[in-house]
Amino acid sequence: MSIEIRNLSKRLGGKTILDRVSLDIPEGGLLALLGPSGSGKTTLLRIIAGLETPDEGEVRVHGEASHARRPQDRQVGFVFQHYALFPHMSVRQNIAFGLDVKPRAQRPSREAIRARVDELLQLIQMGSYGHRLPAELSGGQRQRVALARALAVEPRVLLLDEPFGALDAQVRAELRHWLRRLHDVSKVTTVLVTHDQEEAMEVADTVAVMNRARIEQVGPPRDIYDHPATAFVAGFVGQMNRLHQVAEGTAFARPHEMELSLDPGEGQAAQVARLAPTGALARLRLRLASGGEVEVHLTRDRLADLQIAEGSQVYVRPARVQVFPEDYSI
Amino acid sequence: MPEMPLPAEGVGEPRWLRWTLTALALAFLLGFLVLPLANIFHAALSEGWRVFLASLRDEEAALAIRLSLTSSAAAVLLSTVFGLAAAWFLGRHRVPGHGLWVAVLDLPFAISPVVAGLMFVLLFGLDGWFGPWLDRHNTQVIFAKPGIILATAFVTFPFVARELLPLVEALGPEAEEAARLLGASPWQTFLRVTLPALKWGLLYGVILCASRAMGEFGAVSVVSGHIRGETMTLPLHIEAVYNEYQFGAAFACASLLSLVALVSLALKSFVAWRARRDREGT
Repeated sequence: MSIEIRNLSKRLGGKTILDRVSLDIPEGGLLALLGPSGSGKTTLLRIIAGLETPDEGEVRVHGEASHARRPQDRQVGFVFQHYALFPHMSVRQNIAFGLDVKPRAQRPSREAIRARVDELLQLIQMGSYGHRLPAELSGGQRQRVALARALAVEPRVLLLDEPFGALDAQVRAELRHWLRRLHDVSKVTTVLVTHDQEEAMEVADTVAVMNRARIEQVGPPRDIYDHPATAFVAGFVGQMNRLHQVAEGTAFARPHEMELSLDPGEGQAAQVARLAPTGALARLRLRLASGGEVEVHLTRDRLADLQIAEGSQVYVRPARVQVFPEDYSI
Repeated sequence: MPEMPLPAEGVGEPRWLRWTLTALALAFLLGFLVLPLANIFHAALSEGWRVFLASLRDEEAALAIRLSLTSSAAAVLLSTVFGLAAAWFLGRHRVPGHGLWVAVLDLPFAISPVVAGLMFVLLFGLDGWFGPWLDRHNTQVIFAKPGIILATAFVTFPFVARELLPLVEALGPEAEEAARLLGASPWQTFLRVTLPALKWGLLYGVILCASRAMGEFGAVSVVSGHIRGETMTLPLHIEAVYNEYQFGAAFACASLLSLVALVSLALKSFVAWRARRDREGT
């Protein structure tokens, strides 16, 4: 195991930020800590980095307690949401910083540092931007520089705190694919904090879903989506329709697991309130005759077959339901 | 749709009001600031260059100039070190009563310099709290140079601290945290990350601090004891010779002090311009 987290607790001003959290992160993996804001994911990341101390429990990085070392000796690469580049230094100087501050005995030669910076500038596809100041770059470029700066010192683990949170949707999507490719090449154990479930599902090998200071489920993205362990996970990862109470709790169904029909008797009566044909799927918002609304996703072919529009009368039923004991709320 | 007429000169106040206000401001500047200042140089030179230079070369004047320079330098150093420490501490740590502490930084500005001087007399004077102890150790603070330095540092302390506090807050802790995790020691982090980000603000504060230190009268007047040739700073010397009706000498020294002010004003503008240029990254 690259990072072992054991029974970590942290309280701040009477509020529990982390409640006995345990997690194993395998060597070379890319794990996403996914959760709503205030769920404790950033605090967990900062404790792994050693920027904050836990009240109880411990973090071991490669078998060694993370607080046993001084911050500068931890060999942790950290990328902040707002980049935290050094504003008075050029891109090159920013990237070289971690190498420049090494004690003389360990510091690479000037030529070696220059070669390493060149290599990283190529890696982030910013070869000709070396002499720019951070203020002269776009948000996406700044975050790439921040990543190169963190990678320059060859960290044992790379920690990313909402790295794309401040960027436009399109830049976000590009950068997360780029990050995944980068990870496939570098194989550095990486932890990514995000509140964006799409980002977590697309990039990570393993997703840990956090809610209210605890980890609710850990697993590969597919498992998390198909077999959510709790109502919260089901609702937070992908969309969920909350259907009705059953003896064991509440029944839920995913929008794409809902069936529509024009025949009365094939489910509950409903009216199409909103129809948005985007991409391969059409997103429908149905108003149930019994009250309440459900979301249904149909393929464009199925939509064409049914020949329905906003205002049409339809009948809806779930093809698969999942039952969770507790009521979920986000 | 009817065409919207373009406003010819903005939507602000009418033209006559703008002109009147501008004229008033200019007249005030000219009458109360520029003319009196120019007059000081005129008065200083009214008895000719020889008298002017002689008044500056006078033994007491030379001593006063030297004392002003050395005690201001020491006071600026103190203000800078403490101002930097205070700004960093208040900007980085959410101490209870944060607003109160920031207000305390302004205390030296709010308090009359004479009162500030008296505070030091009460602390370090012969009858003060530390007076007897200092006396036993043969150290004199009040009516001596250390008192002048302390009083000047107290009065000028807020310049650096107030200038830096917003900059420290704007920099945020993240750049420093990033530096630490990249392997920099606390000292390397301060020198390479924190200080460069504060560079122009610090310089600006130091210039303000220095020009105020050179001109400080009230607080210094109380603690100096006006010992000729020993504890007279330049402003005290000016007042003394003026009271003896040596107007030429008084204005010669006053013009020197005014020159210091003008130079610091120019430096200040230069630093502000450089800081803006750096911030805009051009």
